[in-house]
Amino acid sequence: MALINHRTREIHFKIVYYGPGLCGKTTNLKSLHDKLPAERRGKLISIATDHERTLFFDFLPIDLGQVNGFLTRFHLYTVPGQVYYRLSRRAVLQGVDGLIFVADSHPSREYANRDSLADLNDHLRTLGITGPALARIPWVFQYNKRDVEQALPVERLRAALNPNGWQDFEAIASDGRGVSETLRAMCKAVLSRLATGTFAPQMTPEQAAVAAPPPAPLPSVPAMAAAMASAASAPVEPAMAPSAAPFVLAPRVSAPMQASPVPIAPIAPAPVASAARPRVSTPRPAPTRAPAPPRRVITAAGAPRISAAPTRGVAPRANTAPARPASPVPFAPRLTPPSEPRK
Amino acid sequence: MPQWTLFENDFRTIDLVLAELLERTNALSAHLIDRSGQLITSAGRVDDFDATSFASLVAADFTANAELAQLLGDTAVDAVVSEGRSRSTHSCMLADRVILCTVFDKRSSLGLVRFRAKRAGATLDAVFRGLFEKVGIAEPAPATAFADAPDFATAAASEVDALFGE
Repeated sequence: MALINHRTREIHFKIVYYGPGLCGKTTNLKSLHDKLPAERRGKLISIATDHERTLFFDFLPIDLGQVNGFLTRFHLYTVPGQVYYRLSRRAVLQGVDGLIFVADSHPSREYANRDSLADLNDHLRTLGITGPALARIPWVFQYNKRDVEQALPVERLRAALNPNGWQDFEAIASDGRGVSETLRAMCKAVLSRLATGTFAPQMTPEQAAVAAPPPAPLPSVPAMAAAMASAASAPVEPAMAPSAAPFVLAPRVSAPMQASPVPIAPIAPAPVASAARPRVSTPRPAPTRAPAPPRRVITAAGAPRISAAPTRGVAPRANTAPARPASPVPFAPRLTPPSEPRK
Repeated sequence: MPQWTLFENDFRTIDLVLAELLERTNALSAHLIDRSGQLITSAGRVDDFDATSFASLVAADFTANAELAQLLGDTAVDAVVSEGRSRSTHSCMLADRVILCTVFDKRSSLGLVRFRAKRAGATLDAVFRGLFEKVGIAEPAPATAFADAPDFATAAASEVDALFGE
């Protein structure tokens, strides 16, 4: 929900990074925090457990500077990816202007990607973001961890998660690759939405009625077998091989063609199911699809840690001026915007 | 989600109410925060902390407490209080979409802040409901919300490219 404040001359947008646990949402924000000039970004607030798992959210404000007289800000949030933080994720989604779905390219996380996307659709429905309201929210997909061995082919991820062709990017967030490109596409998308009132094509009432359908059932056995054979034979894209240089991104700019931005396509079993994570750069335990034992909830909730990376940051722009005296003119809300921005 | 716009005139009543709240409670500062975590305006002493981060945390705190209330079988939560060692906060919801957060220290008291915030909230609630009726719940046309939106979007997109090094 973009907030346009004509007095402070500010426009704020809220962008939420969503995805399964350990997919790299927080790593995206940390990378951005490291990359961006200190005067353009604020403190990175991270509400995390002692084990550096996101407990509630991470928050990073980015200051675009003065644009046509308006200070423009993007507020970046991540959600906690673990299954049992479901309600926390819904809280973070309040008032979202744009969604970045971070998918994990590791074969063992294919179902986790799909489940997370279904969870996101459920939350949007619960928050009343359906039909035309849903179509107004731009999405960008990021296929992260392209450096893992036997990473899922991009086409496979795209078919399963992004059949409508929202912009998508390959990334290695731990190295900072693809991170800026993803956010840049999202920033432009929400700006486009501000200008046009909508980002996706206008929907017919019939389309709106079927927006955000439930996930499709899994394919039949023959279909799964065929998909498995196809995926197993598909090589890792050369451009994303760990040794490939320079890093090649694959943005897609085609507009979505359906009312629902993310109907979840069925997926076949991963071509290679590896229990161990071959990715050396992430010293985290191997994720599992099964929910954590109940004790983890107690441990996580009992030991929250709020950290803020100290930076010069974006200076608070709150209004500290004393209240203005009452105007002799009766309170008369103005329906039209000011004719000309203040300098 | 609908977007909404605040014009200068909208702030006249808001400023008066916040100033009165601070005066009558001897609180340090008062903040109006959008439910999504965006700071709308502040009054009082806000120079010694990051108001942007503060706003995002207050909104998250309030939303988390609302979820807690639902888990306990309640439909909503009216106020959230945080008692710190030197400073405390009291937050209440206005018009279902705006949080009024008052920061106070030992020169005030929770009871006084709660009482006065409730009164201020009643006035501001009407202001914001009127504002939302004015702009409508549905997505406003870009020209209504922001006349220079197309030009702004083009210029901002260029800034985005510059920021990310293109």
